[in-house]
Amino acid sequence: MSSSPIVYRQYTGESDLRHIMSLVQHELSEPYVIYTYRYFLRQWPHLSFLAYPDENSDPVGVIVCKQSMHRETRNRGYIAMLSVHRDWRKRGIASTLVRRSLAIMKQHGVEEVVLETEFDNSAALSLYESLGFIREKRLFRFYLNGKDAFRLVLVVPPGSEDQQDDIGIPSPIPPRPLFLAPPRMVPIPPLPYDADEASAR
Amino acid sequence: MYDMDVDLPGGSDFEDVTKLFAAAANDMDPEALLMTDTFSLLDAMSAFEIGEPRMDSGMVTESQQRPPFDPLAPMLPQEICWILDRAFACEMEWHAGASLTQTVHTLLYVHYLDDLNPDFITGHQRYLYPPDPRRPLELLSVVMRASVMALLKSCDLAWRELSKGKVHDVEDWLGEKSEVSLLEGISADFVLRKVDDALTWLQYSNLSAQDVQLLHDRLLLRKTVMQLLKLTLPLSKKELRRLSIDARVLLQRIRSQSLTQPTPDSPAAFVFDPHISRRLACFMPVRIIDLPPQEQAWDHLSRLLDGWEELSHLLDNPCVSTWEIAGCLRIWSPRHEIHPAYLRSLSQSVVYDRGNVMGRLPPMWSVECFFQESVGCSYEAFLSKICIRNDSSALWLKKEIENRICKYTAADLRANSYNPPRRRRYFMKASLQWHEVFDLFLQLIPYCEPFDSEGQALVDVMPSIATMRRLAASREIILSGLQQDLYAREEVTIAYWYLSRILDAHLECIDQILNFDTQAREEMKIQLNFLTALQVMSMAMCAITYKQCTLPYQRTALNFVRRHKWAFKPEYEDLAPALPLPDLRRFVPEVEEMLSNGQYSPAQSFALAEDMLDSLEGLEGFASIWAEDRRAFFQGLARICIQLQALPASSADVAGFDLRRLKWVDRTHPWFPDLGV
Repeated sequence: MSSSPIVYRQYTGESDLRHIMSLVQHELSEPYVIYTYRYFLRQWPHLSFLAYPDENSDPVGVIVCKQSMHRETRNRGYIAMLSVHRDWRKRGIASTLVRRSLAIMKQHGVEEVVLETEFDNSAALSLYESLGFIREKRLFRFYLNGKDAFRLVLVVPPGSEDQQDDIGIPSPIPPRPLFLAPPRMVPIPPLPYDADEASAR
Repeated sequence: MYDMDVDLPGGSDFEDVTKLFAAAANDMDPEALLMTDTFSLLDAMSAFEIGEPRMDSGMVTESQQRPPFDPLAPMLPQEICWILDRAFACEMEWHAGASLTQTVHTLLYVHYLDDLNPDFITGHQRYLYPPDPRRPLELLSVVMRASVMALLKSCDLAWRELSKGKVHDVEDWLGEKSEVSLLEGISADFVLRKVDDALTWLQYSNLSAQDVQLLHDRLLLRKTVMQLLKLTLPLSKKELRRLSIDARVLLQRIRSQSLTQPTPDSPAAFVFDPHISRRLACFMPVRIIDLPPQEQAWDHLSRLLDGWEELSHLLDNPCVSTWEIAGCLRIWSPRHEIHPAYLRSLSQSVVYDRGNVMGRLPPMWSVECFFQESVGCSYEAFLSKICIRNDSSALWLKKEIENRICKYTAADLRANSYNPPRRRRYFMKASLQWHEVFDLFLQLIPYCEPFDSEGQALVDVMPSIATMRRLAASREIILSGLQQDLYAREEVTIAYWYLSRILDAHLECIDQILNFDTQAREEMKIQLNFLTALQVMSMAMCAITYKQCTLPYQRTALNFVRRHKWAFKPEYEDLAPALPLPDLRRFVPEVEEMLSNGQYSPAQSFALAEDMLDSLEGLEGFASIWAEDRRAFFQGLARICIQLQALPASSADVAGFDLRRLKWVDRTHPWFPDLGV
């Protein structure tokens, strides 16, 4: 395993997709269909980052996000997937990936960033809380396996796009996988809420 | 149904579009993605890949091959009993939140009911198997058929309650039927008659007495559960109690009976197909689940019976406070599991249904309780003492207050049957709603012209009654936040601090109401001691955890506003101040002041709280038959106080306390941590 610094770069195109799927996929009991990845990567490629041990290796970490107007009032970022290969954890990779995406979101005027995580994923909770996220609400039986989730939210103050890090606490890197397990899938008649998030509860 | 294996879902008139798609794809650039305007993340996620075994539930792997199902394969009586027991397990698992496809629909007889119909069984089928007196065909065509019909009808009856919108489909329960009939078009009475027919057949059968008894108990339990589900609103508490007691007796007897498990080659072993979803019209990918062990399934059924029985007792108690106490205890007590969605929906239906409260009372009964259970006088007496001037504005205010009390009281009671996160979010709304009632009372005061001091005292106290409701809602938001682990370590201190301020305000209201010598006095005293103990404990926790607040102030303030957005709603701006305001600027000075007081002792605070909770021994208030449960809850809180008395004895020692000794994970009490060595 290399001890050289990790290299981070933005998603560049379909050739990265195979690696991203491989990193995220093996953490999930029910995999995402390829369209889920494409939904994010084609629309918000600039918010997705990959982490490489060196220039010639396959990536060992990835983050996939989106950013859009929530209910036409708030500029909201959404962290859809975050995964670091188990051999490369405890090196600050997950934290750096989140910060990179946050920095780009801030450049685009993000006001809040949200995500869902399993209620007992203490590693993910520690990581995000060290970055200033709070557990805004609990989502009852959110996942297909009947588990609850937490909706985490980071409030981004106005004018913070220039700040590199307004919450600069080095974070412990989670020993457990960080990922968004698939939420329940439902038939889609017109929805009474913003369907562009996995859950609008 | 025999043709099911060869049928293609949606018919057989498919056209091969591969070439068309290939031609269209030629016009696309590499990496291009076509999306319609309304294409959402859920659309993307709802697609699946054919041939990917984790997504394609239609795929049959080698190990999943099984022999074709023969619904008329003869069975022994005990094999039938085993199937009926497992069918209960399926039903209970559906009530616990799994889908019908994962549970009830896995019982293959569900899909072959016509084949079991004795009128349709042909002579050829009848003689397919050699006659076997130990395995009479009627065990299938009469007993099994009636049982499966009753199972489906039970699900249909529950489904009708669940689909009223009081609990949430896909969240609290799963309503998807996958186009399988739950006998919606067949009357429950007809199905019950089929069960009775089966019981009669059993009575005259040549089976052994032991087998008859085993089958009889199961049929009767199925019938009784269905009768419970069949009860219509307004619920008859007498019937509710009689049937739930009957069912409990049957359940106990069944649990005490030993049953021979079917051998692996028994036809009974192939009666449940966990992969049935591949042959049904399913919207969601279906995860194969293991049904719970039978004892666990019986425990679930027992809890369902407990719920029905509890409801019958609640109907005995037309008292808002009693319903409130029973509802809160279920949420607060860690040993109580949340009721199944069906019961939570039924309880809400009982609280308010088509203009009736509690099944039989007019909505104005809530207004009656509002005053009777606080200041201890009827609404009529209250009005006669506060003397509202005969003025159209005043009369409008009075009517508005009445309407809102009716509406919000029912909503509060119903919220205790929501799932805990939903309940918390409800109280965020309720807090504002009760404050609006408070504000309406304030507007009414100038129109009141009491002619004696007693009347004046009632005028003075009436806004506080609404305020108590608001503060109770605010308290529940924070306590449920603690219970649901919403607060990170950084936030816990502030949560305890604001909770203590809310409790302080609530205690002031209770003090004001205690001036009235009423039948509610004992309940108010219980509330006074309980909330005082909670307030003292909260302050002590605040003092102990204060030093873990290390985030920069800007981040703390941003998170505080977001966390308390329910208290910062713009609607509050048009109303009188809702005290205590969530003012973070007061947090540091108040806690610093407490810690700088040399006399302050967290350990002694917990000792004081323990004494207060102990002093509640023997008091019942409005708890009725829940008095014992409430006592147990207070004792649990007192035990935490005893544990936390090992915390620093003085504020000077707080700085040296190792916060890692506070154990939050898997703690024994939902609101407070345990103390490790």
